[in-house]
Amino acid sequence: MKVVEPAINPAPGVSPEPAINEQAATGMPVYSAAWTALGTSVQVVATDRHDLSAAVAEVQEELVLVDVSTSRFRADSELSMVEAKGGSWVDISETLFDYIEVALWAARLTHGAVDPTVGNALCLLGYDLDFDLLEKRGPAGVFRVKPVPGWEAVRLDASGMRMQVPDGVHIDLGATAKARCADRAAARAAALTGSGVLVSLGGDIATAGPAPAGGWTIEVGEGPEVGSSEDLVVAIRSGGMATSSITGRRWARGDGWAHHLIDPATGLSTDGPWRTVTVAANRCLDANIASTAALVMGHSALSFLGRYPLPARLVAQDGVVTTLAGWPREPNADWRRGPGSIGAS
Amino acid sequence: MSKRAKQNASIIRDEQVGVLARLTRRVAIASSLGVAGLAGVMAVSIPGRHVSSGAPASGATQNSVSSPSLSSSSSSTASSGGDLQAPTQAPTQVAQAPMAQTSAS
Repeated sequence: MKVVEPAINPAPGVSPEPAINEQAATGMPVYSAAWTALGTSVQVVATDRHDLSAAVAEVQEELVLVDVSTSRFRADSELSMVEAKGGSWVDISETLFDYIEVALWAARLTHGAVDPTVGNALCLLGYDLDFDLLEKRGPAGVFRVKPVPGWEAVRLDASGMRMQVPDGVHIDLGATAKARCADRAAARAAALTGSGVLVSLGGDIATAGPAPAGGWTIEVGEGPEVGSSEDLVVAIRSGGMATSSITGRRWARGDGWAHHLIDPATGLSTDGPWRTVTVAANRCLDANIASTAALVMGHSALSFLGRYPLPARLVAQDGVVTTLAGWPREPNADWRRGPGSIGAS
Repeated sequence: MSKRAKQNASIIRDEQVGVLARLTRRVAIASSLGVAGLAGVMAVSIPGRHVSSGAPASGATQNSVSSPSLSSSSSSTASSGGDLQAPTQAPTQVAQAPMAQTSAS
């Protein structure tokens, strides 16, 4: 049987030229590579110098997979092709199935606070291009927005490996795909090499395999200016960490500013009490779901995070830091311990 | 196109992506690493077909999604058992240089 083969175009956002750091820059026996892809920074850290290149290759392959499968900025992505057949059941690949399944799981866990059907809302707010291009385009206009269609509108059939998206609904997997990709890439790299591997995709951090002595050291900041003497450095021995913030990915609108974190109830950028939330969890995915949900949920985020409980650091709009579930206290921060915290120092 | 043909097309798409990515990126990485890196790059086999490490949870039905898990035995990818999972240890503050950063992206 002759099978029609879909055309595969190179991923435009992927730079295949990682800058390799062969030195143990941190004093710990780790080696790293960094580059940009999909409009964000990518970093791979390995505990074995000779395994770094193989780990990088695994990560790059996973980046290509997520791009051609899930990108809403590519008309030829598998997700875009599914949406183009609005209302019809469409057979999908294992990769897209996995990312959609994760997104729907996140929506259910967070009672819709993390909802993948925010694609239209983001476009209406002006985020309809890759962010690098968006910044160059200039201010977006003002449009009337409305609540998102809701994740229940997306249907996934595991037995048939297919999905259905209602006509006119656009999916954005920004709240889960990057973190899931980091988890998948780290797991693949560690399984292949046997080394400990850290993968950071725009600050969504996943680790797999044996940690270096003293753990993986991570600087926690609020924006691209991380690196100041006041930034917190923490160590984790496994799992992942993610930060969600309204201080990044902002763009001008006719009536002010918008950012990429959408409140599904309004279709507008969130406007709650927190500006940045960092969470540690057993996977980067779990951490990113929690940090995103916390920004959308506002004050109820404290009870949501405390339910699991997930170590978390929440920075309020006034800069006051609240910590939960064993997140280390910062001596120099204006700090308060959140209700129900366990073991906060 | 028949359902079977669509499935085959999807499989081939994954194959193409996997092989293309491995070949192009390993050549690029090898060139940036020199001879020492080349050995490590080329030591990685190229399988005939990429298999997603994120196989869907069995038994999932329409909008009845269970917690997805990764198939790797890595300590960071254990099944979450249907709920968000806390890490085995909370982060600890250290005075060492960071290996990575988490921040607004």
